[in-house]
Amino acid sequence: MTDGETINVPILTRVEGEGALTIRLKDGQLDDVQLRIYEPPRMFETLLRGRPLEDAPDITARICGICPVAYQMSSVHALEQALGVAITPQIRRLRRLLYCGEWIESHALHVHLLHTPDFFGESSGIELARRFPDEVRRGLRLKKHGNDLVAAIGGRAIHPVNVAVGGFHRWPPREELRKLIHDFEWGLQAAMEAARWTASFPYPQLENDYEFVAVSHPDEYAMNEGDIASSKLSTIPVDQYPMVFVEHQVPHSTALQAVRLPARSNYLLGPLSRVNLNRNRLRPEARQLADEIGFPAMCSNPYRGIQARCLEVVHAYGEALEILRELDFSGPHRLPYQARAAVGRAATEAPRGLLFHEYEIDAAGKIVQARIVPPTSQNQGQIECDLRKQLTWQLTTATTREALARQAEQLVRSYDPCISCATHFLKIQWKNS
Amino acid sequence: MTNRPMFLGLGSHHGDDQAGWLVIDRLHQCGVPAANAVAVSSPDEIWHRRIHDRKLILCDATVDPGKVGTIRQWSWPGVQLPELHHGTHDFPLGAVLTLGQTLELCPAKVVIWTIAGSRFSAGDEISPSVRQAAISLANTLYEDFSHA
Repeated sequence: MTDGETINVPILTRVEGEGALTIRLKDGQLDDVQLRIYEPPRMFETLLRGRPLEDAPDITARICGICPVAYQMSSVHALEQALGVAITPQIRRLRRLLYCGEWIESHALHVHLLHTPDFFGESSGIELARRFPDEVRRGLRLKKHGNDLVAAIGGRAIHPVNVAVGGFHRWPPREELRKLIHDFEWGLQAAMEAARWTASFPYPQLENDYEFVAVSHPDEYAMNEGDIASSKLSTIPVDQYPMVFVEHQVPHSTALQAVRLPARSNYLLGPLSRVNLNRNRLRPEARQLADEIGFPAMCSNPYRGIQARCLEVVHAYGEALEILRELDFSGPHRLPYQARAAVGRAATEAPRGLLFHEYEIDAAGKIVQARIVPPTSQNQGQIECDLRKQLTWQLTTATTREALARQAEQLVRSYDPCISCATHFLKIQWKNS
Repeated sequence: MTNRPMFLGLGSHHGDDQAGWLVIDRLHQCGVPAANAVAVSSPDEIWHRRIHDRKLILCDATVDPGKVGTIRQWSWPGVQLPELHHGTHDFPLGAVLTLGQTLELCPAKVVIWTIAGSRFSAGDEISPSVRQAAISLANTLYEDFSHA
């Protein structure tokens, strides 16, 4: 809806959760742009207080139906750090395999049904399917592979239940996993085709001087472990995250935003940051594909995030196949631990970017405090910054208000925002009367 | 194309949402082969069942202003299906059927049976009238199946 001075996108479509966009103009120039997140806050941190630490992976998984594994991974790694638990290589590999499943299902959905329609002026995945039936069918199969993998390890595709502090409640059935190999061999090739397809898309021109931030590991493409790397500042250990990244509230959003200290600057999380910072640790097939499709080094066009997602899907299929072919369930599926009063922190890479968890636990193993910082809330400030840049330029051209709104929505979608994740918490100031 | 229909029961463990699964259980008890009657958790399972050339019958619980346990029959397309839940991880049934038809992943016509429920929260028991309705519906569907 537009009234000359205000452009409203009342409900953002093809994003997870509910949000809106308001663009205010003054004398034909951009006055303000707000990504308005109006979903009610969900109070997960408060819900965790006083609960046994063992509840954290299953409760936090409920924050999101798309990326529950990310919440489980960040929670168990943070709690294991607090407890001094060092997981075995076998558990570590199975957790990476589980994360591969989540990346595949989440990225395949976004690439094929949520974001691609924008590049062809289609209003929905259904419209896109009329134009590209084979490609959309492929996307649905890829998504199902991801779901099947999560279900085989976690017991079910959405909100899996097998992840535990110290490992897994049980090793998954070996045959259930082996059965996936054939599908994943097809999927690897199909994912490469998807990446080649996206290379042909007409990308809008928008470059930004981003600070890319992602978990980075010297020996592998980071998912569960590593330090926090930045394209502009020094790499820091995850323990220092709270000293460097701070959340704050803005009036128009029920999700906290985050900035980087000391300058209180915006930063970018997600596949684009990960590929930019960790490209040389992608698997060879994904790295070669990045070169083949001409994916730029340190790509700073947010619309090309869809290509980064495709490269990560290729990586995830390749790594999943390697693990599936050499399943090793020797050793315990879960390590014992003794509760102790401590604080633990972890950051893992959710499909949409770095997901930070911090827990304080007491000597009885109860959660005293929890802090969860999801990627979409961290990206909000950068999204608004990108919108301002795009709109400022577009307002110098003869772009209609409707086109401005449509392209602004497309830009928001390029981040694959998960608004349900972002509204997990609202900072409340209690005032005594 | 086989004349035998494919039954899909949509549901979850939560209270009256088990209705679709109960119908499938009952059909199995009546002797319908497992390959012809499947309980699923999410509508998008339809895309992966290779049933585009078969008669598809869906059974699901619904929020309905009528009496709990009321059975209704719908024919799709031609009816606006209620889409109460919008989320990218849980495609609404109408969108699943439309996309499935576009991609030839589900039949052009689908029969949908719904059973009105009232309790859908985790930990809820199924209502006695919903349980009874599910058994009754399954018996009727089995009659049709055995004569197909």
